[in-house]
Amino acid sequence: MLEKQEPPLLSCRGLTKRFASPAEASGGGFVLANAGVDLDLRAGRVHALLGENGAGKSTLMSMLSGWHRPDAGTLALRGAPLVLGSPAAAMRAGIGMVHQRFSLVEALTGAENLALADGGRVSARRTKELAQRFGLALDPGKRVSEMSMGERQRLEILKLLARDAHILILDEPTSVLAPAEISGLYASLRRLADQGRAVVLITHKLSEIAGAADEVSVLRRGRMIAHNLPRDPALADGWDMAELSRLMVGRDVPDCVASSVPPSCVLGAQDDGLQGAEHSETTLSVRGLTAQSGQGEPPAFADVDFEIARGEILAIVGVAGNGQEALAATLGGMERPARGKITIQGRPYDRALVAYVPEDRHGAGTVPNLTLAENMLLSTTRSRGAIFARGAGSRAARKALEALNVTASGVNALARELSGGNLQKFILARELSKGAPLLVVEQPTQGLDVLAVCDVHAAILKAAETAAVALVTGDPAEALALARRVAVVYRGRIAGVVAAGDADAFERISRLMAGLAPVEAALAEVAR
Amino acid sequence: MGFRFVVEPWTAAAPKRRAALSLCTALAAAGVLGSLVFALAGVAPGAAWLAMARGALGSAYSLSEILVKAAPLTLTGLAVALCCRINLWNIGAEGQFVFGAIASCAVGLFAPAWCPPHLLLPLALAAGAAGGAAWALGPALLKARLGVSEILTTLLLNYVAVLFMEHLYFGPWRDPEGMGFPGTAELPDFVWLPTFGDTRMHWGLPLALVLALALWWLLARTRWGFRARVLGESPKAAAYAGFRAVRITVTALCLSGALAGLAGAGELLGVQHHLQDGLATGLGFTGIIVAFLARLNVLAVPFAALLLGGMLVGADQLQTDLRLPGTAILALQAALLFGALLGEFLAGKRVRVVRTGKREDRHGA
Amino acid sequence: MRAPKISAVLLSLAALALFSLTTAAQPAWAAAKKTRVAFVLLESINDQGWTTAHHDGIEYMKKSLGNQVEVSYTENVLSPTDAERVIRNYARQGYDIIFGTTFSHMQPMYKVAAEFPNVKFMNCSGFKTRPNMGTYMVRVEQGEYLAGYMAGLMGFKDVGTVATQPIPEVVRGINAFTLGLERGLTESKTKFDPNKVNTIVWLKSWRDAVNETTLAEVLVAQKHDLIRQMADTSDSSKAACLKGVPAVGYGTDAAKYGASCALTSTIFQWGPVYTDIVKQVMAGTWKSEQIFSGFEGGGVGLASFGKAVPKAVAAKVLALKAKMAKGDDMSFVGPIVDQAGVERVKKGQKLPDQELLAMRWFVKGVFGKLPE
Repeated sequence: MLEKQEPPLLSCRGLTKRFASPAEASGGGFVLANAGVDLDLRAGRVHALLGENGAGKSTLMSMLSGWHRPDAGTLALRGAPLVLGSPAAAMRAGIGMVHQRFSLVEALTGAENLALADGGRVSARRTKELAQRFGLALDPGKRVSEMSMGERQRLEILKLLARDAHILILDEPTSVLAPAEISGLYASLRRLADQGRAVVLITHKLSEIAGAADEVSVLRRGRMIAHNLPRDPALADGWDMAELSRLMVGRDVPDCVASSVPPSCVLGAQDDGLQGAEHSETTLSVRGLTAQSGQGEPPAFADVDFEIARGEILAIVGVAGNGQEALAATLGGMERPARGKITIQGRPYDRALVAYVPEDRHGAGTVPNLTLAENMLLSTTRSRGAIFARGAGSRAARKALEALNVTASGVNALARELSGGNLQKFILARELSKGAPLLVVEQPTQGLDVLAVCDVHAAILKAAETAAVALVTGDPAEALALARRVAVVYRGRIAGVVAAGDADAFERISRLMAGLAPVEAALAEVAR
Repeated sequence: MGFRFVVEPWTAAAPKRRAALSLCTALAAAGVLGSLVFALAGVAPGAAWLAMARGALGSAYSLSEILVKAAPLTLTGLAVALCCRINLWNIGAEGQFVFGAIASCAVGLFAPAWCPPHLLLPLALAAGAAGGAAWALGPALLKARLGVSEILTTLLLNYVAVLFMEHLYFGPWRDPEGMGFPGTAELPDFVWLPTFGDTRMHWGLPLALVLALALWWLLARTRWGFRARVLGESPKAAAYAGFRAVRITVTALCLSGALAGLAGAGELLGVQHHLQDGLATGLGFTGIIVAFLARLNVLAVPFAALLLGGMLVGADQLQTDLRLPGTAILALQAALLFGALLGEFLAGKRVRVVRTGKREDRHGA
Repeated sequence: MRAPKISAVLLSLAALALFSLTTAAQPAWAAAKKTRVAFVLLESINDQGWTTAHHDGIEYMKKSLGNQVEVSYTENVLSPTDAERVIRNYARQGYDIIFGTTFSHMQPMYKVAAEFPNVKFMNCSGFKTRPNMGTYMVRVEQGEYLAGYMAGLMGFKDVGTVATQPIPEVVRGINAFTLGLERGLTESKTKFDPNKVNTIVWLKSWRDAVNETTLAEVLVAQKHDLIRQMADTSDSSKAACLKGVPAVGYGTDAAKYGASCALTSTIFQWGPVYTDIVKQVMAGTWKSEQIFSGFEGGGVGLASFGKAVPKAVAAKVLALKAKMAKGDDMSFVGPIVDQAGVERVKKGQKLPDQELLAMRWFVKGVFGKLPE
């Protein structure tokens, strides 16, 4: 792919950014948000930056738009070194960003917001001219509060264009748009690129890039896994979507599997022989489960059927936003289904029979400002008696700390003082202490360091010896590392169930997650 | 261009040190703003603070008057703090205060003759608490069942309560011997709260202190309190744990109403002895400030009430000694409270000055 | 710029410590020979109503007595709890006479008066007395009678009144205005509905700018030809002016506060009352009594007439006023018939003060009821 090498409009080399981890502020812990990131943005191109939640996309873009200063690495604008001290400096350099949350004054009109942004006079005519010049349909006299999300977005873009931005960064621009508005946005972006600008589209949705991008870069866990992949004209979508999905979520099995860790972890996924018969007792049975839906919106998931036997781990995977979050919350008892049946050990659903490790460790799984002893009682407190059993809570918390080797200053430490890994182990220990027949774990290792990942995996495998486990995760590698079967959720339905032992399991899961597998095949699997 | 201030959360300090720090910044900020008001009103801040201190602490009598003020403020402060701990905004302590007073007044005025007099005082107090709780029940149910904002409902019911009370003492409960003037007859003295010595300090204050302790115990040591705290800190965690948010919400608001109602009963039975004009003069609203000065810590509420009581009593002196206009006193109160809250806010934050342009340093920060 | 303020805080903290150890007695020389007078005021002296009127009275008294008096006052004393503290503070500081300027100061004053037999107390518009506590009030009804009389002479026969709270003082005022109105209408030979010359709507508050305006607008919309303001703030008069209907103000001169269409206003004149009482204290002749000051004592007045008032009418009203100032109070002279048609006062008789003070019935011609 050699072409005339004019310098890129903007190029980044080795950008690195660390943040003090709030959980470990006293210990001086850091989260590496970006590590040695390279990226080139060229005029005339729409560049898609792919990555999962937390992969570091937003950090990278806030360094480009002047909100954060990189700890290391360099930026160059048309070949000349560039240092950005503030968003204003970035704006002067021609770099502008449209954030997911718009910064518009709702009570003012489009023209007024524009004047506010560029310091010019309020003029409906000027606004109209600008809008027409860039092909962004906008009524300058309309109040922002009356605008649709698409209009607001166009106004945000116009604010940048009015200040002569050459590099436009849009953070998850389609997340707020109705489907009909998305193609309009793509057309506008294409036009802006054709006029000689560089456009960056941040997204975690694979389906979005096919129609819009010229180049793709993939970030994972703060590192640039692949950058500036050009469109392949031979492929219908432009890229091998399964490959991109693999790049995005990571094909590597968690590192601990290969290193010095408990034996169960080394064994990896539950293998079929280990747990005896296929037809061992069914612990969890889900039939026709459908989530409640808001007005006009489809339910988060619908008509979900599956079973988990005692001693089995079923992984439920999906790209964020496909309904597995709501499914986990329903299994965990936080949400009520609209219809369908959940049976545990043949009995109707009872949350006392469920141990649940929610995705939100700090908000739902624990209360940050309460002590561990108190947090211990969060899901294990009995319902009788007026006085709450602080002593029992302390004892149980102490046991939990020991059980999974949680590092904490003691049972009177506040939950927010624990690191993510230790907090997760604490929650897991608490839930396991209930001895419930069903364990639901949701995104158990998201954001954890390698050692904690290992401990958590080991604990889940241990729990699976006596309970049925539903492992809800966005990481197919994790699913394959632990589970025997992997159910893939796509747009609220189980798109397919893949046996972890199959040779092409990872490929098939990746395809299913991207919505690329034929549905018939998936249905056949489910009917098993 | 120039500079901008960045306010960042500052979590490094230990909670206890933060509390001390926040008290200091609150007092300092209040002092600064208060001094500004004095300066604007044309008096030397030093002299004004001295006059206030003399007014508040200058005699045993003024000290006792601070305690008279502190009793209802403690109770309304507790009422607000309890709700805020659960992320509920009870702006209706004023109305609950009034309704508590109405209920206890009813006991005093209409207790049947066969009722033993020594039972009437406890009965009147209980009626006060029940009245306040009843006045909070509507907003509580609306909030818990229908999600109607309790801020709005409790606030609006304040006006209804005051109008209802006025209706009573202008109309059916008017003292037949009062020459047509508004106000009920004086309550019989066996429902009066006993006072200490020849001061106006009454048993409402010890009662409030006991209740502060009880409320602390309720929140820290009981299962209900635990659930309420979880709900307040994180509704998601409460949902996760399966706590019934509806029940906790209703109980908490009613309990809050009962405390405010008791404040009203105390003011009626302990000090005023009539239902009359001027019973509802914002003690419920001031409870909001007390609660925030105490940083929602129920054990700190009595101290915040004392501080505020001292300020109110001390302010008398500013009018008489320094001839500060009454409006300046109101501005001073607002400035002190605003300063206190600002200081409290800043204590948890770190303010940094960030250069936004390349101009030279003009802002000697 | 910041340093002095912080030092002020530190200083005051030090002061807290210091003054908790010492008791600050009022130095005796401060009171030398001067008569010390204290006022407890309901609201701010800038309230453009009740308290402004009292403050005007205080200034009048200070002017007329000069440096023989030392005057202090405390504003915004709404709560009886606060009133008791403020009154007791003044009493403890050895003031010679303390005025409570509203009914709700009566109970606390009555209590404190018992503790300080050597201090004199005067309460405005109350009824409880002690040997060292009296009451004072102005006979506004005299002014209201004349204002009604003026309106009647001008032919207004369907007045709308924005009344405040249903207490005897207000009832008295409505009745006096109505009696004067009927007299004026009769003298000017205007035909009128004997059951409805003055329509009452209730504000149920002493002041409430929004509702004063709304109620006045409602009355105008119902085609009433004159708006009678009774709140001591002028919003209802101003609303009438904006709608092109004349008004009669109350308490202070409504024209001074923006109601240019006001024909006149019945005004409180506390100055002469305060001056008289303080003079008695200075002379040692003060004794506990219930003072009612009308035109004869200068306690009430009529604001200067508006442009719309014909000279002849003004002359007639002023003639009657001169008679009243000589002590001929004709505001409640019989025959007076109530709304039900029952004769309450026989021809030629005068309603005694005790009945005026507790008045809770309307005369014939008032349209509206006393709320219960």
